[in-house]
Amino acid sequence: MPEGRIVISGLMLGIFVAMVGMAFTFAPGARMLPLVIGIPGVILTAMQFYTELHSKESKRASSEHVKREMTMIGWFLIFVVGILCFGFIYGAPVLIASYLYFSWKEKWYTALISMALAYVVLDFVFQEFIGIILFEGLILLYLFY
Amino acid sequence: MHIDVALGSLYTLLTTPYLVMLMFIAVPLGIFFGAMPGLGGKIGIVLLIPFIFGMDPIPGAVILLAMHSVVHTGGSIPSILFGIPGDGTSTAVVIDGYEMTKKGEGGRALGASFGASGLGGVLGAVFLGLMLPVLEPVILAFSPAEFFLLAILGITFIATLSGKNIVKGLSLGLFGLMIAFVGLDPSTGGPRYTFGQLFLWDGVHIITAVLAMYALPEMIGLGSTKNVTMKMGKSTRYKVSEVWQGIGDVFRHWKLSIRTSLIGAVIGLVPGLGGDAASWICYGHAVQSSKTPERFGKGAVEGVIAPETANNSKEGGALLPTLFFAVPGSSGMALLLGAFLMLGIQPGPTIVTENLDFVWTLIWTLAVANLLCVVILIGLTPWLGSLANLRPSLLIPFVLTFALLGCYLASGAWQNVGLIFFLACLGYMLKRHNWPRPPFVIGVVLGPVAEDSLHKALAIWGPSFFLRPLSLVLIGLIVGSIALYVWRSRKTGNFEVPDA
Repeated sequence: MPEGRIVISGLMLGIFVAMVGMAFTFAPGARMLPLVIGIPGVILTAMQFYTELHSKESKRASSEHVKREMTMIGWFLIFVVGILCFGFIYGAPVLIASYLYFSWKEKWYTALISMALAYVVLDFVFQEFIGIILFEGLILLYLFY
Repeated sequence: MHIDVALGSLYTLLTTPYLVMLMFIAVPLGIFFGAMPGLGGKIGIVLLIPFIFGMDPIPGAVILLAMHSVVHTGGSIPSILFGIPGDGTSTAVVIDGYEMTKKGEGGRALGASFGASGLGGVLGAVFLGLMLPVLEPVILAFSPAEFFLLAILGITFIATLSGKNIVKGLSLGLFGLMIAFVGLDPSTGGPRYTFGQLFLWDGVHIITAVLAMYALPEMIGLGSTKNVTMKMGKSTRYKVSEVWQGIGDVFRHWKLSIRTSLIGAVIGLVPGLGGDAASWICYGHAVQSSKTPERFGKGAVEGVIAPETANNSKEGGALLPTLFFAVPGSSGMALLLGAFLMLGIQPGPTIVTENLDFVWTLIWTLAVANLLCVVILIGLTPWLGSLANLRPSLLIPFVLTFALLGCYLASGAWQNVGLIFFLACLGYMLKRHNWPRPPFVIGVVLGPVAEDSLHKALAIWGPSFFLRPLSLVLIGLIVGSIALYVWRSRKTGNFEVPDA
């Protein structure tokens, strides 16, 4: 498995190459700046990728740290999917309580208080007081609207 | 100088109960976010963005700026009491502030920090106010040609400040520009990088980009570090009389306080240098100008005063390029700029002619918020030691939620909540592997300015716009900033500015 620094520089190179490639499909007037900016970007990221490939520097993170990072990114994904499915009003408070209870092993009442606080802020402050309609969630929209 | 507008704005700010109430809400919030290690002012802005959505421009800007301007004052509290910097800009304060606490002078160190921050903040605002009439003709002389070159200068400058990571810095600056091209092309109306998705026709909102590159990676990083639940230190009660002694120290060293405030404000003007540079440069200045430099590092009060004045005065300087050229001096200012755009405020040269009262309201907000912060902190002194019992980890899920909410509200499209996940994961990888992220933010902010100005400049003058006198000056500055980088990197080998 290559090191993270090689992966990220390769990823950046890939992104620039893809963006420059796509720029050729734009109308002549629209592709001028993406090409003017993108081509130097390809050159610079290729230089960085080459440097990383030939670098002797090795900074592998401990497997424990990588595991924690993956767990946190996993929770972030759960937040995104949860909010997209169940919206801010109902999804977010449950997610907040779950995160605190399962990930940080908080006391159940701390998790419940946080859930209630989140609900109050999102529903009463945003929807009722400020008057902003928050996203209801795709599943709830499908079922009830 | 527009004295009537200046005084009118101050009168309105102080006599409008709604604005005063907003400042009373914003200042404690700023102190709190500054004092919590791992959070900081950017996270504070993230949390406030959903609340200011739909507000009128002036109240929205007042609450954001009041909060942002006192974050560094809050950041000095854990630095001094526990030796843990609340944010990157407070690291210089740790050296002498924490030593003073260990010697039993924690209250005095806090007082010196509060007094210096308040004075620095006020002098930074005064600096901004005094620069206004000087800069006004320069700002108004700028045409699309100069704005295009200014955008390029901003990116080059910040990328060259990425130090030994110049290639990474420039790459990310260019990547930011490429992200700014997502959406409908302003000249042809054709979609670019939209993948057939309607929500991308409006482009990637700056709030989404900055949240993805800063707030969310910070939260992923904080959530991956389990020791944030540990107590920060010992909870101690401090006396208000000790704090007053520290405030007195600021005025006993008034020459140093004024000098470092001015240095901080000037450093704030330079995009990319940021608060870390301001506080360290001023700390170095305090050591060099002292008759007894051997006291530094062992609990010298001047070692607290110098970085603290600079930290707060630089906000006044940093507002100048942000407001008048839409070139944010730091990632915090970029986020503030994005929030201003969301409020319907369009930074740029026209703000001087069309919204001068707004500019003066911001200047006064800076000054009043810093003074209010000092008053509030003096009142809170006996309880500041109990900060040791707070756990920043409790805020992680709230910040995640409010960041997603801010991203949704900024663009009004739920698809952005999905988009930000991918951008934030990329942002975290970049952070993890030391890719300097400020150039990316500046690229996203300046991309539309650069493209729009280039099209206008080409339409008016053709390619000869590069030969306009002011254009030549800016080209000279671009070349000069790269040459300076080459010279400095050859001289020092490892010149590097932190992730501002």
